Order: sequence, then structure tokens, then C-alpha cells
Amino acid sequence: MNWITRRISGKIVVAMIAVLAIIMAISTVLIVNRGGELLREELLVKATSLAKVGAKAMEGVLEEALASGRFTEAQLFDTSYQEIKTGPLAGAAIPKYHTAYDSYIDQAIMAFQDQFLKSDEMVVFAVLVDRNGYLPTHNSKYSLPLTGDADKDKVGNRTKRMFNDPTGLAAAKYDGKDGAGYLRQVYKRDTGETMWDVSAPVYVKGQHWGGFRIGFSIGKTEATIAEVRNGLIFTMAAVLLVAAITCFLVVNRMTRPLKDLTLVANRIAEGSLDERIEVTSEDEVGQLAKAFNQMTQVIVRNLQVEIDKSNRIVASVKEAIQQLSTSANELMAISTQQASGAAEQAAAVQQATTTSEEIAATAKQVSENAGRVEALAGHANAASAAGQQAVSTAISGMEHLKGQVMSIAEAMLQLGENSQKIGGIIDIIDEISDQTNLLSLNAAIEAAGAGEAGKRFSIVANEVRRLADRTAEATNQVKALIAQIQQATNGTIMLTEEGTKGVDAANALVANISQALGNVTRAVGETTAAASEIKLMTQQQTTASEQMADTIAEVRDVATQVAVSSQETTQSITELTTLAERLQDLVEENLLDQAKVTVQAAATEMARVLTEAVDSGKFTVTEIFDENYQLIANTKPQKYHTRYDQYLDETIQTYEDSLLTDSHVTFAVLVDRNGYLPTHNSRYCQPLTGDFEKDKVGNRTKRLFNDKVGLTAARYEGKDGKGYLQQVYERDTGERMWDISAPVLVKGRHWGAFRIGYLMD
Amino acid sequence: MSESQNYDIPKILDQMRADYWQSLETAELTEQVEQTDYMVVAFGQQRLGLPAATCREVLKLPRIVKVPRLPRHLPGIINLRGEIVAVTDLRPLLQLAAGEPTAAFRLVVIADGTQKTALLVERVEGLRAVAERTVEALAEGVSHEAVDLFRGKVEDAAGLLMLLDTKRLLARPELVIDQKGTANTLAE
Repeated sequence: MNWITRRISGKIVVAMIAVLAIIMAISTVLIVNRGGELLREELLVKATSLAKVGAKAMEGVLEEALASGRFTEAQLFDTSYQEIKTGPLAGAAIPKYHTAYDSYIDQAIMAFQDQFLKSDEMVVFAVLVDRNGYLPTHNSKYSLPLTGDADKDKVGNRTKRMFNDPTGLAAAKYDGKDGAGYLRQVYKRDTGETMWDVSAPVYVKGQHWGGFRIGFSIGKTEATIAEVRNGLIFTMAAVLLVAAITCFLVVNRMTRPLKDLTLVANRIAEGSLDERIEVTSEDEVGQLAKAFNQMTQVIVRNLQVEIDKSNRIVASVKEAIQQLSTSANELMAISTQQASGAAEQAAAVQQATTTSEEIAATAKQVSENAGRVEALAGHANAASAAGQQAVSTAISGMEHLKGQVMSIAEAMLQLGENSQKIGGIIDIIDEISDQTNLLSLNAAIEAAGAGEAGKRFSIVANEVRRLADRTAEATNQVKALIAQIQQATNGTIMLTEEGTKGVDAANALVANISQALGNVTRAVGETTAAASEIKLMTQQQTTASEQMADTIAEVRDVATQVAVSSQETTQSITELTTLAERLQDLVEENLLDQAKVTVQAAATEMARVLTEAVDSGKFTVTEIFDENYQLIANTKPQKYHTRYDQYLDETIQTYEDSLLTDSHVTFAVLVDRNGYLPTHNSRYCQPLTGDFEKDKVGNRTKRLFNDKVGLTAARYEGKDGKGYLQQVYERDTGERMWDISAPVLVKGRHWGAFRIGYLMD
Repeated sequence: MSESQNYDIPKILDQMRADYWQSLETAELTEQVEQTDYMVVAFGQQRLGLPAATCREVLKLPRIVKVPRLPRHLPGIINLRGEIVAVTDLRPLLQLAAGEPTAAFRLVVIADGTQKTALLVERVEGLRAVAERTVEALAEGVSHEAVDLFRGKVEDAAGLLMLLDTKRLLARPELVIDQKGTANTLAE
């Protein structure tokens, strides 16, 4: 596939072959179809004529039988099919039938029917059937005696059966009234063979009796058509092949100059700018080649200018890169600082937010508490007011009680005095009764003294005495009562005094309570005022802390923005750094391209010098490959001579030094395969001073540089196909160095390498 | 007084009227028996009967003028309507405890002929008629020097009553001060 897509000749050939193939295929199909149709038409004509002939013959036979009086018309059109129960045809698996005429017909037409099969091998059967599909007489091929094997008999004995399958019935019922005169039916036999059933109607005395059916196997015809088709396809394929080969050859010849032109253009593209194309023709390809030559010349001219320009640009780009790097580093530092500052700020803001939220929460709580205190104080105030009221009522009640007690006490005193007065009166009465008693005694004495005359008087005196006694007795009772009354009144007075005292004490207590309640009311008032103030102040505080939260949120937003922008800055710086690195890479790539060319040119030059030294007979090959390094006395690090080193000092140092004009190049030297450096650049060949440290820098020639980088460069044979080796390493001074080397071959042998050291930064 | 505290005044009045009627009836019944009236006096539980014939009058205790150098049974003298009467205290004679007389004490003036004295008693119950046949001779319980002063004793509803013979009392010069002169003891 690749082969085709990469060659224009291939594409043209494939396209042409494809078009040819399509044309041929279409014509093949058309030819084959036309041929097949012709063959089939021919066959149909043959089949219809056979069927019509058969039908006519059958009409003749049947009419003759009628005319000869062998059968009546009714007998001839008999449809009362009697199933065969006796005789050789009895016991068939598929029922068979007799009619009035079938036995006669067997004799009359079987031979005629068989004639059709014999005349053409494509005719499979040729039979007469009545209008119901009843087949009285089959071809002898299908009238073999019954064997009893159902499968065998189904093929071998098919006579006297009802063929009323769709195909059979259609053929039997066909009366030719469509004008064609025949009926063709195509069907697949159970053997898989494609069959034609061609039938023609049979009329007896103008009455439709049945039909004559001919079975045509068209397998043979189809085979003939296939043969023709295959031959045609083969021929077409052969023609196509020949056409394709011819096409390929012609197109290839015509596109050859184009191919040559492509090869030359490729070479130019690979750098061979002095290539030219030979113009051999005047056609479009020739014109293209001529234009190409002119274009190459112009490009070469312009390229030199562009190279110079690009070198200048590269130098300024490098400078810019360095500045960019420095700036980017500074910016990076600043943005890092900024980011950390922003993070700190964010943390501080977070803390402040938390604190202010806490303050707000606390203030709210305090406010709520103050509100609750206020409500409670209100309750307390009401309660103490009620208490005051109650105390006032109590005080007035007490006063009332005291007054009552006092009046009781007065009444009691009065009662006491009165009872004392009563006592005085009673004393008088007592005295009176006492004297009366005395008087009565004296009267009694007088009466006794008067003797009998005094008797009556003594009785009177006695009565007087008794009355006086009674009086005394009564007054004694009164006295006792008075004493009781006085005792009671005294007790009552004492009680009332105590009561008065109690009332006074109660009064004092109530006064105390009143005072205490007053104090409580005052305190409650103060509490209410304080709570209101607290509430107000905490509300102010809440507002203030909400404002503070808002401010903090703003600060936070700003800090977030700062953080985001510092992130963006970092991103930009990173991008800048990447850009600078890419620029650096580009510059270095450019430098590497130059270095590659330079080192390969130098290696070629060295190979030339060494080969010439051998060719001129100055040294043998063995001598030029000398590895017998001779110690040079008093040198540290150790220096060595070889057979050829002094010769090289004379011949190559100038060339080596010429490469140092590039400011990047720190050294450009030839080393052998073991890292031995016979001739260094003149700046490293200062006269020996004996100062070890100084000589280590100033005189480095004729030493073995078999460190890892040196040895890898020396042993590089260019077998990786690149032709040069780049090693990057850091000098002990921290500068980045490139060691670019190319192998030097002398007489096909690997002699060593040319190494150029580039200082990168 | 403490036990009958009922002040059922109508009942008491009824009782008084009943007593009055009874006193009218009983006075007729005592006519047949020979009896003597006695003035009943008392010192504490000791009751004495003085023959009513010798009793002149009963006095409230007046101011008794003390006379120096008189025996214990003669506490002093009184002025009875211009007549000087000596006061006799029987308690030392009867060997009864003798305290200072109170305002309730009484003086019973007894006289026989010319002899007259006022007996100091604690209480006067009143006159009582005593049937002569109920009087018993005094056997013992009285000191020897006082025994001839009593006629006898009698038991009545209120208890034992010692009957004093006031004529003998007045006849004993050591006991009674003569109206004309000093007491007999002064003459001795």
C-alpha cells in the first residue's frame, strides 16, 4: 500500500486498472445475461412446440376413440375415479385410480409419450392429464411394477395418480383462453433441479378435456450459460493483466525525470547546496528542474545572510534569556514572599473572623440574658409592689386591731373599777347584815329575858338573825363573784397589754418588711435600668461586631485576591521560566548544530593530517598508533612523549587554536583512543614554572586525560551513526560544560577523537 | 360556798319562804318540853353554851383599853354606855390557843347581880333552847380548875356543846373584877 501512495506512477496505474476492471466487469455481466436470455427463449420455443404437438396428438387419439365408438362422450369425460383395490397396482402408498378410459389410453398413448423423452434428453416427463390433474397413463419410465418399497415406488410408479398440487392443478385447468396457447411454470423439483412445466390444453369436440404437460429440466441449459460466463471472465482477467503491465511500464518511464528531481531536491534539503539537476527535456518536468536550480542558487545566497543575522539574534537572545532568568528568579522570590504573606494574612483574617463571630455570639447571649433579667426584674417589681400593698393593708389592719385591743383594755379597767365599787357596796351591805345579826341576837336576849312574853319576840329576832345570815351568805357569794370578775379583768387587761405589745411588735415587723420591700423595689428598679443599659450596649456591640465581621470579610476577600494574583504571578513566572528554558534550549540546539559541524570538520582535518603523515612516509602506521608513552621527568601531573607528539605540536596547534576564536570554546584538542593529549591549545602550553598549582592550569599538554568524560570521548568510535558525541558535565568551578567529540580514523582504524569544550553559561 | 355555786335565785327565794313557814310551825311544838335557852358561842371548834338568862347583850369588838398588870385572861376594859366593863378571855382558862382578837370577834355581856363582865368570843351562833333531860354531866376533858365552871354538856346537830355556868364564873373573884373595886387578885 505504501509503495502505491508514495509513487505517482503507482497511483496512476492503480487508477487506470480500476477503471478498466469496472468497464470489463459490466460488459461481462451484460454479455452473459444476454446470452442466457437467448438460450432460454430458444428452449421455451422448443418446449411450447413440443407441448402443442403432444396436445394435438392427444386430441386426435381421444377424438378417434370417440369416433370409433369405443367410448361414449360421458365415458371419455369420466371423473368418477375408482380407487384401485385389486390387480398389480393395488396397495400403493399413494392411492391410484381407474377411470372408464385409462386402460385403453395406456395402450394408445404410452409409446407416443415415451417418444418425447427419447427425442430430447432435457424432457423429464411428457404426459396427458385430465382437467382435475388425474394422470391416466404415465411414461413407461414411471410405470415400473410396484416393489412394495414406498420410497422406490414413489419415483418408479407415478401412473394413475391425482397430481393436484398447485403446479399440477394449474397445468390441468389451463384452457388456453389467455391467447398464448401454452402455460409455463418454473419450480424446484424435490431433487433441487430447476424445472419448467410447459403445458398445452387438450380439447375433445370443442370441450376442454385436460392438458398435455411436458417437464423440462433446464439444469443443462443453466450449466451451458455458466460455462460461457466463466470463459468470458477468464478472458477479461487476462486482458486486464496485460493492460496493467503495459500501463505500469509506460507511466514509470514517463515519471523517471520527476523521480530524479525528487532525489536531488532531497539531497539539497539534506544540505548539499551545490547540487544541480541536469535538464534533459523541455517538457514541464524540464522546466521544473530549471526553476529548481535557480531557486537553489537564490536560497544559498540568502542563507548566508540569514545565518549571520541569526547568529547575532542568538547572541542577543541569550543575553535576554539571562536577564529574563534573573528577573524571573527575583520575581519568583517576591511572589513566594507575597504568597506566604497572603497565607499568613488569610490565617490572621480567619482568626479575626472567628474571634469577631465569637464576640457577636457572646454579645447576643449577653443581650438575651439582659433581656431575661429585665423581664425577671419587671416580675420582681410587680411582686414587690403587690407586697407593699399587702404590707399597707396589714399595717392599717394592725392599727385597727390595736385600737380595738385598747378599747377592750379600757372597758376592762372600767369593769374592774365598777366591780370594786360593787365590792364597796357589798361591804356596806355586809356591815348592815352584821349589825342586823347583832341586833337580832340582842333582841333574842331581850326576848329571853322577858320570859313567856318574850317568846314571840324571840321568834321574830331569830327570823331577823336568819335573814341577816342569808344576807351575809349572799354578799359572800357576790364578793366571790366580784373577786372572780376582778381576777378575770386583771387577766384580760394583762392579755390586752400583751396583745398591744404583740401588735406593736407586729407593726414593727411589718414596717421592717415594708422597708425591706422598698429596698427590694429600689434594687429591682436599678437592676431593670442596668439590664436595659446592658441590652442596649450589647446591641450596639452586636452591630459593631457585625460591622467588624463585614470589614474582616472584605479584608479576607482582598487577601484571597492577593493570594490568587500571587498564584497567577507564580504561574506566569513559571511560564516565563519555561519560556526562557525553551529559548535556552533553542539557542543551545543551534549551538549544538554548529558545534557538531565544527567538530566533525576538525576530526576530518586531523584524520587528513595523520593520514598524510603516514602517506608522506614520516611515520609508519605502527608509529602513528604508538601507545608506548614515555614519562617526561619532573612533571606533575605526569606528562608523556610518543613518537609523533612533537610532529603534531608543529602541525596542528595553529589549527586547534583557530577554533578558540569562538568565545564559547575553551579548548579544542586531538586525543588518542586512551585519552592521551599530544598537543594542547597554546594557552595551556605556558612554560613550566615549578609552581604546581599554577602549572596545573597553565600547562596541560601531553597528559593522559583518562577521567570518565575524557575516556568516553576518546573511545567513541561513532558506531551509533550520529558521528559525534555530546557529554554535559559541571566543571569544578560550577560552570556547565559541553564536551563535543568526533572520532578520528586513520587508514580505516580508530585513532582517537577530536574534543571541543564549550562553556555554556 | 364553793360546793353550792348555783345562783338559782328563784329556788333560794322559795327555800327562804319555806323556811319562814316552817319556823312559824315549829315554834308551837317546843312549848311542852322544859328547856333552857343558851347563847351558843365558839372558839374554833370548841362550842360553849351560855345561859341566856345571864346574857345582857352582844357587842361588836370595841376599842379595848389595856390595863397594866392584869392576868392573861383579862385583856382590858371597855366603855359600855358610860359603864366600865372588864373583858374576860376564856381561852387561857380553857387552855385554848389564844391569838390576837380580830374584828369578827364579839363581846357577850353577862351579868349576875352586880357582877358583870364582857366575854371575848370568836363567834356567836345564836340562842338555842336545850332540853334539861338531854344535859349530861361533864366527866373529863376539862382541866381541874375549870371543871366547876361547866353545868354539863349536850350533843346537838352541830356537835358537842359545853354548857357554861355563868353564875359560878361570875362568883369566882379571881376571874371577875368587881364593879366597885379592883379585881380579887389585886386584893390578894
